[in-house]
Amino acid sequence: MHNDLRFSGRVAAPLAALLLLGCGDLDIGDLNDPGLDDFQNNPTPAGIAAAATGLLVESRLNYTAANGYVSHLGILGRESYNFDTADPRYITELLEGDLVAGNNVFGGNFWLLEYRNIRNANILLGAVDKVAGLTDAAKEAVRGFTKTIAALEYLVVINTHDTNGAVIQKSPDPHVVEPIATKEQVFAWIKQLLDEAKTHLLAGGDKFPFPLGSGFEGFDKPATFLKANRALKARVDVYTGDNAGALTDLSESFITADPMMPNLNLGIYHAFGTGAGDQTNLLNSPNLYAHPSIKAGAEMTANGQLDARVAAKLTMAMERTVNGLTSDQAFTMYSSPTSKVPIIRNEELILLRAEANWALGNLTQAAADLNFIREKSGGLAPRADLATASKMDVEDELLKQRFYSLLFEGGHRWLDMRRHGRLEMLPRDKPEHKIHALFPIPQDEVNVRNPMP
Amino acid sequence: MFRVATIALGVLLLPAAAVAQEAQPPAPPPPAEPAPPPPAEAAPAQERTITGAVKETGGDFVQGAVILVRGTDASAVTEADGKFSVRAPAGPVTLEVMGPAHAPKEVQVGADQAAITVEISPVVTEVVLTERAPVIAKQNLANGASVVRSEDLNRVSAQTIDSAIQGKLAGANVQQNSGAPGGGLQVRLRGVSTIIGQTEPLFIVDGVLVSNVAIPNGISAVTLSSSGSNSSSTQDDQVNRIADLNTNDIESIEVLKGASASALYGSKAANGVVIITTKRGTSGGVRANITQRFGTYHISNKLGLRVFNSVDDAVMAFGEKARDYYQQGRSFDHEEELSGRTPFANETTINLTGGNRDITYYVSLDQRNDPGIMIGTGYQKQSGRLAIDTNLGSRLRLGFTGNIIRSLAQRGVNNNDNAGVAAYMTLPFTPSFLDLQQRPDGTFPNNPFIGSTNNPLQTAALANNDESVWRAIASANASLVLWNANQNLLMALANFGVDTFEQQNRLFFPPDLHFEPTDGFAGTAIDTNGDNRNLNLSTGLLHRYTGTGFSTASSLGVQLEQRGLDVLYVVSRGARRPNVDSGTNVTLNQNRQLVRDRGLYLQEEALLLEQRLSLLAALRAEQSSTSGDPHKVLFFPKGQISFALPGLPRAVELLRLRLAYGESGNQPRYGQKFTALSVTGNLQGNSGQRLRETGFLGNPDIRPERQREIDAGIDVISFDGRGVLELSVYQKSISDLLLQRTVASSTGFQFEFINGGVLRNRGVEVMLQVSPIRQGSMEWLTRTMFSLNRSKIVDLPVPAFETGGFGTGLGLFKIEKGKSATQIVGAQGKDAMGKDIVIKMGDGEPDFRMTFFQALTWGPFGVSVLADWQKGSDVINLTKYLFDLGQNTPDFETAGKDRLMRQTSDASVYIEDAGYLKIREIELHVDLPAGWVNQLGPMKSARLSLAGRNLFTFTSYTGMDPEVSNFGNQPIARNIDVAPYPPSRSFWFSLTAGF
Repeated sequence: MHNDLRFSGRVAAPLAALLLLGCGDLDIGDLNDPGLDDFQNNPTPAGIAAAATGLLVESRLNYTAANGYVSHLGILGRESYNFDTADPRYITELLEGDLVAGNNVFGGNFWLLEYRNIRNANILLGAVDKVAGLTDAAKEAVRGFTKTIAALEYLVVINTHDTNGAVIQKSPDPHVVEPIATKEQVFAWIKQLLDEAKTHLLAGGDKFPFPLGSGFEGFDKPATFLKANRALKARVDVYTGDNAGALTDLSESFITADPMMPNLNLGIYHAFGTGAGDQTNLLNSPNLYAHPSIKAGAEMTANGQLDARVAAKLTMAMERTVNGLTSDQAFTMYSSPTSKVPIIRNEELILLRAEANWALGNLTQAAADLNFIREKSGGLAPRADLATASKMDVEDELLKQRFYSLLFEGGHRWLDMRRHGRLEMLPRDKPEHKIHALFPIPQDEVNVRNPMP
Repeated sequence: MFRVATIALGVLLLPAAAVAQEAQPPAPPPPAEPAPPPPAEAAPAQERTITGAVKETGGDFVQGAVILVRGTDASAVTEADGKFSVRAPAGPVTLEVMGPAHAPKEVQVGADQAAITVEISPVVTEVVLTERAPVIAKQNLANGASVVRSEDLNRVSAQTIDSAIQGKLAGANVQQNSGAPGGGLQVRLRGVSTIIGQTEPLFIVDGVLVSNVAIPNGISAVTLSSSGSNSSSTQDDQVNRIADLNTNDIESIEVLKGASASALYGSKAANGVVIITTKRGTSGGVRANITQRFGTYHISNKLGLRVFNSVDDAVMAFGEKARDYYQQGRSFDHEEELSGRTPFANETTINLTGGNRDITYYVSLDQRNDPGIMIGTGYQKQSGRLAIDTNLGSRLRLGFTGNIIRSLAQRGVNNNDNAGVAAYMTLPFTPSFLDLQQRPDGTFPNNPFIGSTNNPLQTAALANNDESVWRAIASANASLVLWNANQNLLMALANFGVDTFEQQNRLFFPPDLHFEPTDGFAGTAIDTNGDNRNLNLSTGLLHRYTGTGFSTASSLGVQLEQRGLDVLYVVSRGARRPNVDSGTNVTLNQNRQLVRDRGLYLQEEALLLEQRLSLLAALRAEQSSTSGDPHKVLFFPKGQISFALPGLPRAVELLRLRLAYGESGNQPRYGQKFTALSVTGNLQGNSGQRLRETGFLGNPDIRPERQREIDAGIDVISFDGRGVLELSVYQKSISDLLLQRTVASSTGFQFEFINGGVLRNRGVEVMLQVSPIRQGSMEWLTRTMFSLNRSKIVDLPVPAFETGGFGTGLGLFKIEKGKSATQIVGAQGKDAMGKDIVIKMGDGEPDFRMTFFQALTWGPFGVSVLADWQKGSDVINLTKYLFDLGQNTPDFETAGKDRLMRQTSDASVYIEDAGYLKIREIELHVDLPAGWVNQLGPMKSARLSLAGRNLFTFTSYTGMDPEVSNFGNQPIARNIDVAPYPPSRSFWFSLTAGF
């Protein structure tokens, strides 16, 4: 009996100890991914760097996918076709039918991924405020970069949704359903972001605390990145009719029009890689074809050659006919899986300056820039008559030069034709084809605002 | 003497508080010390000893029956031979006798009667609650639990434990997902309990929370099954790991079907709890049993292929190519070539037990080898188990169990695929006139009629899909009597359990396979490694008071549980060897999970009014790391009342009314509370961190689903145990359902997990057991079970949504307020706007289920039959759709063509009634006369038996087997038939020898 009691004491004590030891922590974090909470509450410089890089990783995703910004807008603007027979919607929805708001890869596109990256940007801005171990200048550099990329995402959304408006994601609480702002409000917000970014970049010291990749060569320091920021601002200025502002911003950008060294491709790009976890440029898909109207409308050079831009950017391909649409020309710009895709480059800046001057009535300056492009980019003879031509004539020339200079690199033709009220002048392959003016607000966004009974 | 031993023998307390039993009964007041009684108590003037034996009516002696002497604290427990000896005061006394699974009985013992034999009646389906609840007398439990015992499990050899319980439990719908060897069955208790939450019941083996996870083997990297319109990754024909357990080791399986019974298991119990008690040693000399079984498997159903009578017909169906292959009068039975094996299977079981009053042991070894009917498939399992129970002194008892299992399942390439590689995805497009058989030079012809050129015979012969598991399950438990006097018993209990396994899937698709490459790289090797570790620890206190006509039991305890899973997938494309480093493109994917729970429970049970009235109240308080706030304490209450009516007619031994209420939960899945950032992407080598592309917004307020169940019933035992009726009705209502809600994508997210809505199940379960003949050595026992369940989505805070399936054109499941949770809808016709009209076309829920068990024993001879009938339940038969698409159904000309045409405007064409009657088991045995056996050397007994499993299926379903689930175990979307492994029947001859 006594033995038993002693024994029970001996057993009970270790058992109790075991019990306490076994009381593992109930706060188990996410074992598979870095938790958002953790990043928001305890950001580290390495996390900030990865999040900044992440903005570029996400941004290029929808810009260059087979159903992304360049490709879809290329189809709408009659620059390109996608002859992917596995998904007929590239033709049935984008050319023949209505844009369907219910799926997020066609009619409901240019929303989900862009807003996700805007959320990425907002998360990063919140984390930068808390991070320890970064200098104030480095933080400002990150802020300037982040707001610039966010502005770029908003620009994709509002370019595609135009007068349907878009959401300005202001609340840090993802449960808050923000109102749909007008086109004007969204553009004002984009400008605000770009201008705030400028202020941050000016205080951003001499380097970014993260690598920007090969797409930003020459623009990978706060001071040089600012020039790209101003370039984007100039584009927004022109889109919103602030032409004087555009000239100012262009003057702060990397614009150059040196006849000896036109440097038209100077700019910032989405870059790619073939390593595991990296992304390749999907615009080299064999399903992507060029619209026949490109070659058909191209001018000849003085010596009877095709516009140098068309000659360089188009190549003959195996002729294909899908749904009654035929093409035998493909693009050459993205021939490799790592070909870069321009975000904005000098050639556009010169054309933006031409457009701003044209809008301000400075037709001489506009004509000079347009002729510069004709010569340096197209290999065409300058148009001597342009300086004295009618405003309408210059507009025609402007749009034409923009078409060939910025071919299939960001939906420029579709956007330009809309901005200039000329959508109906886009070539229809079949009379019954539709020309879409803008994308609908995605169905889920509508549903959330008008819950079904 | 032996009394001590029994007390803790059954103490497996996962949760610590229960004096549990397996075969053993609840602990009686323990060992009366031979020491003099405490001074406060006057010693009885005279004392005597009553000896006797307890046996089942017309049956064997009962071990572990409890004998209480009314009005005293004297008690005894019967030994293996049914004998007992108990102290009693002088004069006439009343003995209360309670067997482990029997109706209680009272007997009078006269003043001068020294010996007595008591007969007690078995109550087969009675509850034997072994854990968390200190059960005073199990027959007073107030909810309809169910129990299957060893002898019912092992009549016919079963590969896995879940197949062994098919048709044996009322209210348990146990169905296999395919015919593939090695498991993959879903146990659904009382209908569906969740929409997107976890679907598995909680399995507890000797107090260890064992894992029943199903780890997909990774074959979808080859079949591309998740790249289609349904991107579920669960189409790998995966095995849920309860399959590893050795059926022969099991003493009993008890099923707590709803919250009214399972509340003490808290947030893991909403799908029910399956409590498995394994065999343990009994004292005495060394005894051994050896069972050797030999068996064979046969394909039990084939679909048949269209036979062409003219080359023109062949060309019509298969194009001009058919001319090159068609030969008048030549046709091949590809199904037979593929799955026509009748392999020789065997199983050997050895168990050994013995011991003395201080230590008992039980050792078992089992090996089985079940080659599959399909080429290249099969199942092997080896299991070794040791259980030791020992007394250290008179107050402390320790138990230890260790079980090592190794299994190997080769399940072939089956189920949905988008690459044209699975057998029954290829056959629909493979004409019967094409010769697929291996050529004399060892090569296989390719199959020009399918894009992948897959020859399923070649794939079956050369591809590897091996799933090997090493598993260790161990438990240790201790019980310590702290106080035992004055009709009081106070014990401390502790239990520790561990379940750890490694699942390794080695898949290899050699570059020479005709279908390689499907992805630009010839050859694929896949290595999947799943590591699982479950730990649980519990301690508690148990107090019993046994008074006259009144007893109570109280328990209090804490539990700590941890479950960890780490799965690593390595997919190596361009692999020339099974080694994943032989490939040219290697991708990795890792998924880790870790969950910790803490529970505290309190239970009070009382037996009043001469034990006629039983009251029970219990509460579990719990914290779980899966909750958004892991420190929030969740409460799960439970209450039960039952009353055995007095003054019954002589023929009725027991008429009891019972009512129970309880709450339980279903934990959020791991990670639903987190908003995940992804770091798997990079930009030219620089890591990029961003929100996950899945678009899920974590919910920091997520909490378990809450089930509230009310269960009422009547139990009747009559005619000396010859008639037993158990009837239960229940309603279980699940609120706070885990659901997925769409959020505005302008927030940067697409979905979030929320709690909301209400799902209700109502049902009836009846068990009727009758022994019409019980005469001499002849007994005829019939047992009929009936269960019916209806579910309804009472409230749904999100828009109605579709789940499972492949679109409304073919039929799928739809969660809709006011409708059955398992309704199948499909498109039929178009409305004025030209949109499809989607209507209900079926339901996965059966109208009802009934099982019939008949057993006749006559001296050494016995025969038994188990039939399992499911009325209703619909299956979406896409295998048939595929064969029609391939113009390859035998009835294509006469009916298939028409089906295809109708399907374009009516999805119901391929939604079929899947009711069935299956003869699950038939067994005949004979016990050899002892005289013969003794001449064969050391044997003491020998039994020969002939048995069969799944021998016949009667069904109007035109697919291979109405038990099917392409997506594996599913909360809602079972019953989708896409190219499953064909079903088989098995025959067995067994010899069991006792030493």
